[in-house]
Amino acid sequence: MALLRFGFHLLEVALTPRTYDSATRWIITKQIYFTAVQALPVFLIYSLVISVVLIQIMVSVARDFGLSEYVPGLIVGFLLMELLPLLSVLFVALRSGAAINTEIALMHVNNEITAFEHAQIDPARYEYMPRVVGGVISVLALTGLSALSALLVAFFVIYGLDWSNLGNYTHSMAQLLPLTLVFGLIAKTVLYGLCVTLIPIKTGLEIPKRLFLVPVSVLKGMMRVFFAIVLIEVASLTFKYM
Amino acid sequence: MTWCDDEPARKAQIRTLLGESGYACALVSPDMPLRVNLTALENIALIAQFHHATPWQQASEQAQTLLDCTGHGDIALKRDEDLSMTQRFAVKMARAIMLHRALIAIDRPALMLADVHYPEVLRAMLTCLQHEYSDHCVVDYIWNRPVYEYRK
Repeated sequence: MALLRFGFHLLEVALTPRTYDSATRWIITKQIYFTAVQALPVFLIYSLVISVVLIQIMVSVARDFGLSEYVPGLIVGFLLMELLPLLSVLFVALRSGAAINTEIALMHVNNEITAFEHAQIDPARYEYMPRVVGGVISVLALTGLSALSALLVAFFVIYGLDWSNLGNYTHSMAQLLPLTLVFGLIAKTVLYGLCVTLIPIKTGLEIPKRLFLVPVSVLKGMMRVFFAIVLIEVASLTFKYM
Repeated sequence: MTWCDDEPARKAQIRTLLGESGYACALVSPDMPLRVNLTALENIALIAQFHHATPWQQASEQAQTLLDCTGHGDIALKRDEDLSMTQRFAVKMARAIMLHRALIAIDRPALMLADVHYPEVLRAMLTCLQHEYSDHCVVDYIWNRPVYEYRK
C-alpha cells in the first residue's frame, strides 16, 4: 500500500507541468542516458546473441518436426512477448535498479534529502520522479530495440539474404502482432519499468539512518524487485492464457 | 553570536531560528550536506533553477558570481569529496544565500572549518559576502568563545 501511495504521489508530480524546470529536465536526460544509452551497445549484443541462438533452435527443431509454419508465432509469442521484455528488465534491474537503491539509501543516510527539504526542494520532483520516468523510458526503449533486432534476426535466419520475402514476412508478423498485443506488451513493460525504479527508491528511503544498513537495503530492494518481476510475468501469462 | 552550553541548548536555538515553518532562516550546518553527485556550481544553481525556474545558464552565472565573491571561484566544477573544508563551507554559504531568506544561521562553524583558525576565515568570508545577504547569526558552543577572541 505504501508503495502504491508513493507511486501515485510521483505520478501526481510527473503530471504537474511546473515539475519540468531546467534542473529536472536535465536529470531526466541524465537518467535516460545512464540507464539506456550507455548500456545500449552491451545490451544489443547480448539480446542479438540470445535472439540468434533461440531463433536458430526454433527454426531447426520446427523443421525436424515439420512444423515450420509455427515458427513466426513462436518467435512472437515466446521471444518478443515474454523473453526479451524479461531480459531487458532484468538487465536494467541489475544495472540501474541496484545503483538507484544504493544512491537513494546513501542520500537518506547522509542527510542529503533533509538538506533538500530545508532548501524547499521537493526530492520527489528532483530526485525520485526523474529516476522513475528515466527507468520506464529506458526499459521501454531497450525492449523495443531488442524486439526489432530479434524480428530482423528472425528474417535472416528463416529466409537468409533473400530480400524478396520481406513483404510476406512483414505481413505475417503484422498479423501475429495485433494492436491489442502490442498495447499489452507496452503495458507490461511500463509495469516492469515502474517496479525496477519505484521499489529501489522506496526501499532506499525505508532504512534507519545507519551507514551499515545500506547493503541490507540494496539486498532487500533487489529481492523485492525480483519478486515483483516474477509476479508481473506470471500475471501477464495468466491473463493471456487463462 | 549565540553561545550555547550544550547540545540540547544548541538544537533548541536552531529550532527557534528556523521558526515554526522551519524555513525562517537558511541553515549552514554540518547536518545540511551538499548533494554529492552534483558539482559545487550545480549545488548552488539548483536553488534558483528549482524555485524560480531560472534557466541553467543564468542560474550558473549567479552561482559562479557568489563563488567568486567567496574567493573560491575555481572550485565550481569540483564535487563535495574533492573540496577542502573551507571550500565546502564557501559552497554551503553560497547555497544559503541563494535561498534569499531573512537570516543565515551558521551552526557550529568549528565543525565545518576544523582545519583552519575558523573565526578568522568566517569573518573574512562574511565580509566578502556582506552585500549578498541581509543578516547572519553564528551558533557555537560557549567553550569556543576564547577562539573568537584570539588574534595572531
